[in-house]
Amino acid sequence: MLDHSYYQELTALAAGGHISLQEYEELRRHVAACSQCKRDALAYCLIVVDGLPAVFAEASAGNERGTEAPEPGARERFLARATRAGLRFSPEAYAGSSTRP
Amino acid sequence: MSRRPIDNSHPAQALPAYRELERLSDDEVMAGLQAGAHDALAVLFDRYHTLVFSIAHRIVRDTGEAEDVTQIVFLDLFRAAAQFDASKGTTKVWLLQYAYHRALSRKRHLNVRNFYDLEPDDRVTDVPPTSERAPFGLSSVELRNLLEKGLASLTPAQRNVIERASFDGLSMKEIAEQTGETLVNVRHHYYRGLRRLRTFVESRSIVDRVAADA
Repeated sequence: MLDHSYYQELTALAAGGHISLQEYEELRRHVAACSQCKRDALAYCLIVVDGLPAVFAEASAGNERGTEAPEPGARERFLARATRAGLRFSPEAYAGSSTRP
Repeated sequence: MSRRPIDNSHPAQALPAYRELERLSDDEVMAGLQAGAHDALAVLFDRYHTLVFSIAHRIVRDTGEAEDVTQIVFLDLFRAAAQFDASKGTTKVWLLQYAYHRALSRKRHLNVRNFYDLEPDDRVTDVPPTSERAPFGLSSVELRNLLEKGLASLTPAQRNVIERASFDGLSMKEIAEQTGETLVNVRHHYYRGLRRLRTFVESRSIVDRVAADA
């Protein structure tokens, strides 16, 4: 039987996807029988999945300009995919922005 | 954001035209999207797809995967438009928050797929942040503000590992290689940092609730 602190650390690492599948299986079995670790896992997921992306999104919204350019034709490929998904754009939208470079 | 089917029931002629939408603010364009103006999605894509792509590319580090993540982010934005509440934050931040969320999910999936040679699995039900969820009894804005303060309270090593993992999408192994620390230490910094953030958020949310009730 491993020390409980081992599983506490795994619950935090698992929230960010930073454990191996073998560790995940160990943790899954442990959490099924440990309400404390179940609560821990949920709390860490809320921080990692909901909270931290919001913090970094706020920072990126103010600071980042989007320096990595998509491949040419990205807009056309997106509109084609969206159309296949059922969206209907006007001819002007397909033609593109009048101010777009 | 739930993955509901595309709703095509809105009459196109009653909605703002593309050229008109182009001149509106983000929140006004978002209102158009909520009303069913599909052209509004093209306008938001024009404004922010380079930024979303940059974030996705930084995290997944593959052009094709980053473009796929970008497309999914905007399609899900359309599906979840009804959940957007302008009083809780800007369209841009909401969109970027989901971009991080999606890109990090994809990175985790790619790590597993590369190791086990699995096929992509897009059946994952990925939910973007909504104001409806209330972790720790806090709104998403309150949680974000507390985490900003909590991050400042971490040790430099803890903050560094959490930022590299959550902002750049690096694995624990990659962080260990970049920092020269052992993998065991990097994992421990991540755990200790998250534990401290959790304690910080929980203690502050209790204090705030007691103060509000007093």
